[in-house]
Amino acid sequence: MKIYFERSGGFTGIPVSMTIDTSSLPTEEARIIQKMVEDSHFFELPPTPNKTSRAGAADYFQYQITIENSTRKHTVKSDDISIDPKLKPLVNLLVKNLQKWKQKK
Amino acid sequence: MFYQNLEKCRRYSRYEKYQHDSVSHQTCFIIPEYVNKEIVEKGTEQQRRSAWRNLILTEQLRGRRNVTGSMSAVFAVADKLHRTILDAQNAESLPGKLVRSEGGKPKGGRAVTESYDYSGDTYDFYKQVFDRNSVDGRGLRLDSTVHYGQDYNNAFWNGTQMVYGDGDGQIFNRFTSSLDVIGHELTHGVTQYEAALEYQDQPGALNESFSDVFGSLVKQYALKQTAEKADWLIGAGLFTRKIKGVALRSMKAPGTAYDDPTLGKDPQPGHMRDYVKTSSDNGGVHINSGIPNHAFYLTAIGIGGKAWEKAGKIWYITLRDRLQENSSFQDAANLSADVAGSLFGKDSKERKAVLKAWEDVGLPPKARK
Repeated sequence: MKIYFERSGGFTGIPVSMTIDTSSLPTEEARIIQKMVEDSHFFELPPTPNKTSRAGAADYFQYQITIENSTRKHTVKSDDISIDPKLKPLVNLLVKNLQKWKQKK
Repeated sequence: MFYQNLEKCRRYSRYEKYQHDSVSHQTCFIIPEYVNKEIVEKGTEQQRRSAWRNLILTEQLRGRRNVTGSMSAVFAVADKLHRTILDAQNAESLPGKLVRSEGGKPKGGRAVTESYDYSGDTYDFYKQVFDRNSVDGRGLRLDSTVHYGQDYNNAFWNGTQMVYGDGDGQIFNRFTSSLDVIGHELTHGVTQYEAALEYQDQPGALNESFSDVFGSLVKQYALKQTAEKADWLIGAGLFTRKIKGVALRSMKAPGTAYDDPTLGKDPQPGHMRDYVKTSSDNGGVHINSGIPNHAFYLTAIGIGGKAWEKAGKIWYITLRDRLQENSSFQDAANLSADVAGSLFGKDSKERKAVLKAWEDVGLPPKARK
């Protein structure tokens, strides 16, 4: 499974991004990611967030995630305000392991 | 008339002049006004706050305060500060657990104390300098949630309250540690209730800039600094010692705040010729804010003295009375020059400073026809 992850915006405006191929990660980590992708129903999530929920909001993080497996490819754009709660664990995991996984292609 | 979607309603009434008859004004309500009034009088605390907010937000006809004006006695809106601090306990659920209320004992750790004290400082600034009673002008309670998320390198305004992370301790310190950060976030609330600048592209960068401007002025006011003495930095103290940078942004010298192997270089432009076209960050709202930020800095220095007194006043009146949701940088230049003329005179040194400042960033103001 290939994952492209990008986080932009936020108070700092400093973006972070990475591309990973789960096949190059340790088995256990790959398994955890796989489970989170399944639990979030990623491929069924809407590609863009509902705009009205963000009225007046500012400095929230914005996320863009593209996941590609052997059969499907899907991109989801979201942000801290409108993010589907099911997607949060995956986003947080990717942010947490940015430096660590960034190196592995 | 009312619409299902407040955004559609605002757009509809903006681009199609609606009729004013002698008896009533047409306004946008997502729920009828009389229903909101009922809730304000009889609902639960949560319902009342929500209905109150609806009433205020739908008063997009500037100056039409007669609806909420008469209700303020019912809703016990006081002409004073009212804060609550909540603890998300490192989860991401809002608002979190109440840990401090207005007048409560100073306990709960630094993040609680800082968010409490600095939102008080911001309230005091707006009250003392502009006679503005809180974010909505009507004593809106200031709610801050701290310890949001884990190693969360951010602070944000969600449309109703402030939210602060602790930072990861590697790159960032806790986000409550800088007064200008809190001033910045609360100013997003002020903007929301006034110009409501859309958070995208140029209006979004203006939105960001007003937050940096007033965030900086809150700090300068607290420190009693003149424009010359101020550092004009945003988020100084947010970076840990490991990072090569003095702050997140510089209004005095956009693009120079940091240059670090991990983070990269401060990407802000200080002139329209360097405007960054991008699709991320809602069109680079945190990047292109450097241009109007620099225009404010130049105005403040050009006028001299304390930046909040004249330059700040021009910017505040522009935000409150003149800018609209889709205003561009050029609109901000034109309107602030016009406001300066109204306040200080067409040939005043204040207006000249505004004109020169915008010219220097590549946006010479155009007079109204």
